[in-house]
Amino acid sequence: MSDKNPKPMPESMIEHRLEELKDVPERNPLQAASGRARFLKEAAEYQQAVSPGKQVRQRGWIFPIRKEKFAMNALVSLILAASLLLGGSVTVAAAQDDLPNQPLYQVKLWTEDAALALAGTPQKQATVLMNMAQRRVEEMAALAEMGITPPAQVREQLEQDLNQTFTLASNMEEPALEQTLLQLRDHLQTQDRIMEQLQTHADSTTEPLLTQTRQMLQTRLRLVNEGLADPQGFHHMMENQMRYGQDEEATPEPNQQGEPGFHQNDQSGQSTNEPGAGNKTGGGTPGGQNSDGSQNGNGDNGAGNQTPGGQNPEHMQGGQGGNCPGGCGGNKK
Amino acid sequence: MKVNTPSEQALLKGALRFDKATLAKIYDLYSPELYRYAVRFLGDPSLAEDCVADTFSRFLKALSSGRGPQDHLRAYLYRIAHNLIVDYYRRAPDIVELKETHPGTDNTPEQEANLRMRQAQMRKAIQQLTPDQQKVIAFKYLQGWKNEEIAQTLNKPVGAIKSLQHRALASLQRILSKEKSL
Repeated sequence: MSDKNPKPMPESMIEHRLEELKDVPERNPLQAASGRARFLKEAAEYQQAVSPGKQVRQRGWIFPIRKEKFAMNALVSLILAASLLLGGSVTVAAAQDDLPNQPLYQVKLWTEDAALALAGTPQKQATVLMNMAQRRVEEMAALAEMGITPPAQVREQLEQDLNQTFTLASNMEEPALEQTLLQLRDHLQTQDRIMEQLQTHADSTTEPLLTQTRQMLQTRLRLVNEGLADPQGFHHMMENQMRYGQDEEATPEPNQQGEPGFHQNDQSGQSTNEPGAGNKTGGGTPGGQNSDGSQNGNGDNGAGNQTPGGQNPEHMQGGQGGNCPGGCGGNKK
Repeated sequence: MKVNTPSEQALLKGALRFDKATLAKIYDLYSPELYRYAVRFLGDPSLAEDCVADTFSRFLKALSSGRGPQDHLRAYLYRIAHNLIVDYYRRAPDIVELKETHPGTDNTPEQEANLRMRQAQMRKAIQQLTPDQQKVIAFKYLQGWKNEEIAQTLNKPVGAIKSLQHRALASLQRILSKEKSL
């Protein structure tokens, strides 16, 4: 069908031929409305997937108290220093063994805050926080052995201290990250063992708190182990925690509709259908992998996944006061 | 039309929150022109609707994974749609659609059939251009955009757009001249 020496088609003819493509049949209003409805439905599904994350972010283990707490610590240390000058050292020393139901317990917490404020590096701060967490566990154990159900605030404080440690670790590079995670793993394993022992003879009132605490510890232990195995993945996961308040894996995939023509049978793995793939022709997003091919119909990312950070909501609640600025430390005031 | 208007930024802000009203506005604003774009390339209204649906679905997915656009929403949606079209042609390169009907035209059935054949031939020819040439031709001649808009969308200087356009037309001349004129 080809000529051997074809005469070039005039440019005006090309433009005319292109013009012919402009003639578009009117869009079927039913199809358009249906497409719109599907889009909004899908958007609602994504929104539902995002909303729990917001709650986790507000109430969860990447909690907003962090900055305020560190800022507050400076004030606390000043007060503490002043009190020491006024001869309060005996009081401070005496407070160190106090339990939550004892009068000098608050002084003990202030001392800890001061130590945290004075810790010079993130690694040192992490160590202080781990020691604080360890003390909370010991307090819970002491109370439980006395037949007293530990106040929920102690468990909340434990959770906060651990969470702050994770937050600090997420900003560390190797080898500090590995050292901190190893240290944290030892602490968590010890704490888990203590909780396990307490569970064996806990009464029915204390048992739920211990179980809850143990679950929380085990979840964090799993995260530590994952972080040790894959530090990059740990950073990524923590970053997602901070951005979305939940782990990436916990975001459920939307229902894929199996639209004919476009996203069915795309197994070539060569799709260029996201901006940024292939030619960079603008401000497209990086990566540009085929987002459908590998995930279509794969329901393994359901919301039910319990991830180290995005664990079960019941656990995340951790008491209403747990995450209010300056207030999770409500028991500290 | 300015491509990255402040209102587009506001739309993106709302989209990132998965705000239903904003997303509906985005769909209403861009889906008609994306549909026209797709149907001009694909020649099939149903496939064009699929393309639009998939474009918006991918947009949502990108938003949810944090890989969504930071700006230039319209350009972003066009890029998704265009890449989908390219994928479609890759999978079905020999498509020659004849099923379109144009109610309201005065063409005889024979004229209509010839028109469809010429359109299909031109679409095939466009697919043989480089990706940037395809986009320039599509934006300029099918969508009727100005060079400045195309330049902004493709993130290239206007001079580069003119040059791409010139080369694209030359390539189309060459490709179409090789084939028997209909």
